[in-house]
Amino acid sequence: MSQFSPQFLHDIWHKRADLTSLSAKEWEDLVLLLRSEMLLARFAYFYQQQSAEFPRFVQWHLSNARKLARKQAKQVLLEATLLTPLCRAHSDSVVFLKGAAYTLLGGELAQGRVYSDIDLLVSKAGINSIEKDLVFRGWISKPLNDYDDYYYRQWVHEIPPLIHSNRGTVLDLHHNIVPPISGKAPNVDSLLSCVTETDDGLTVLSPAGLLLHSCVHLFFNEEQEHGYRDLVDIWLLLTRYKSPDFWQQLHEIIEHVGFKTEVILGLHYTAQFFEVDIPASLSRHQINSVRWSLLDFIYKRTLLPNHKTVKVSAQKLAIFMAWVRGHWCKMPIHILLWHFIAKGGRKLAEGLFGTHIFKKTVPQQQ
Amino acid sequence: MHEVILNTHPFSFRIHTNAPLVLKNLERIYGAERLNFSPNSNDFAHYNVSLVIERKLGRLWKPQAHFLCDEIEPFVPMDSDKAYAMLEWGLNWVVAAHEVNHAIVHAAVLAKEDKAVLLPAPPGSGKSTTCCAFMAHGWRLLSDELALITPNTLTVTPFVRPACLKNKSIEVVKGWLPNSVYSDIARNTHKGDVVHLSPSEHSWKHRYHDAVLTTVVMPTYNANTYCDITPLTQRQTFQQVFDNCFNVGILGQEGFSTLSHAADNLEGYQITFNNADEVVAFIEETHGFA
Repeated sequence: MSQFSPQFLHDIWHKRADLTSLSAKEWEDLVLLLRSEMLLARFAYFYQQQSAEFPRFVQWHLSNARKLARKQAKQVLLEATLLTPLCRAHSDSVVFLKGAAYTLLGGELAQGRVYSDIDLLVSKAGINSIEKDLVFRGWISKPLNDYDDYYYRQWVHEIPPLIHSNRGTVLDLHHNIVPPISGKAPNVDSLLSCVTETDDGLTVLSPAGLLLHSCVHLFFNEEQEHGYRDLVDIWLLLTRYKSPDFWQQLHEIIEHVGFKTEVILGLHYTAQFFEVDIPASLSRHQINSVRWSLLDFIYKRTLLPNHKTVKVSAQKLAIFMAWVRGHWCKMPIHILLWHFIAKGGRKLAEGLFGTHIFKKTVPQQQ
Repeated sequence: MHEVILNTHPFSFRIHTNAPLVLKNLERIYGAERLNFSPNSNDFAHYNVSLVIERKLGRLWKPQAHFLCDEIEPFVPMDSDKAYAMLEWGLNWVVAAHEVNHAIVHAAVLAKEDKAVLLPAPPGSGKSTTCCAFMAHGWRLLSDELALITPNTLTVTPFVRPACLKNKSIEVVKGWLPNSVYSDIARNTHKGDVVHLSPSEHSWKHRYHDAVLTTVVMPTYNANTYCDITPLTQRQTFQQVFDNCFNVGILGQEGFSTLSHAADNLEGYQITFNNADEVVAFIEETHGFA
């Protein structure tokens, strides 16, 4: 297996990485890495002009990735156009978040951004009637075990994912951006004051809101899967929107919604990986140095791809620490203990008997 | 763990496996010249898969075969004696799940003089058996499962891989093609007993040569019907191709125009039969080969 240095990865996005000297096997592994980080389509659009010099099998993958991304972008626009009026009947605000929002905003931020679900923020009061309405339009809950369903409904800021029975689209309906049980959930109204309308008349979080939410999703969370992809998003958001006004809005939204630490972390690593300037008021020096050294130990490791082609020292330990910290942030201790007992029992059974023990199998024909 | 690159056209696969059964059958079905057992840094593969046999506490007496692609496990594990069949199905899945540069129809494709017949049909309809009847009459196999159509043309690219025979058809086909190479039998899979058959030498020889579609045949095996042929209307032909196309939704407009172009330009037949030779004879007649 080839090995890529973190610097090589960062250089790719500045088009400074020496791709011409990669061997066939290294190209193969780079494609694997990018696909696993959900960055293959981004890469494909980034290098659309230069890719004629790449090996043919790489061009083939890039063309596949572009087609899939284009299809997804179309799909998101369609779903958003259908979902908005339906949800408006029960909720004053219908706001698209994360990947769907980037796609709806268009431009380089949108190109090649792929995701597994559409995230949508609606009011808590309306969420149950919206779910009922969606069921009549072909959206069904993914099969969940009873514990997971309870976990979602009782403690979490979203309902279990819905999947469209014909189109296969997955929808995450949120009524907040963090679990209310954490005690840190903001008053949603303050978030809803930072929204932007797209050219198609759909509502997304404002750029500053998107940046804050991306950071919350990264650092107020137990895992940073696709974290590197999220930093690329933040970098592209900054490239497009940063201005004195933008920073001002970001400060205001932090004041109302909170999560300053998360934003500082997100900006710090974006600056470090992709070389952007960050205002001093949001630099890491705002965080006490002891606390910072712990946070930095964890996140400088977990934000790099967790892939066999990228060697990161002590990454497993950091992933574990991030997992502990994420749970610690999200749940009070008594809930956390209960969660671990319920989840841990199942994990243990899966470890012993195989991950498929809780899955239903199709009876085999004799 | 063994690492081997399987060079099929137009895709190659890097396979990691700890199953001797898999290696043995790969060598038997594809032949050593299409397998690279010691890949170096100049060798690449389009896709990475692994077929790993594991023993877990829940099934100590029955080791399980796991198929993985890029660390995704699309299927529930199977008993290890089905490992090779599982790999073949897995490779079909990999292509169907990733490939959007072609319109992919779930169909067999056979050609004579580069004129190709498309056989789209659900499992159990006798598609693979019909395939073998064509091969027995000198047609070359382009694919038993996945027809790769270049968008907005009638061109099909061969993806030569073994044909999958089930249950009773195994003995029938062995009668027609006694000198062909067969894999070990995988018993009691979800499709019943399964054997993979290596395509004819002629099919391998022309594995880089595209062919042009002329006809769509929807085969249905029925023990009580000798050979019933019904021509399909353009709309019916379109419906058949559309229903069996994996990625028309992803290709969008390009996919739709590809399939409607095909329906406009191909002859379509629904054939119910218990004698596959008769099906081949009819198709040869319509092509003026007879």
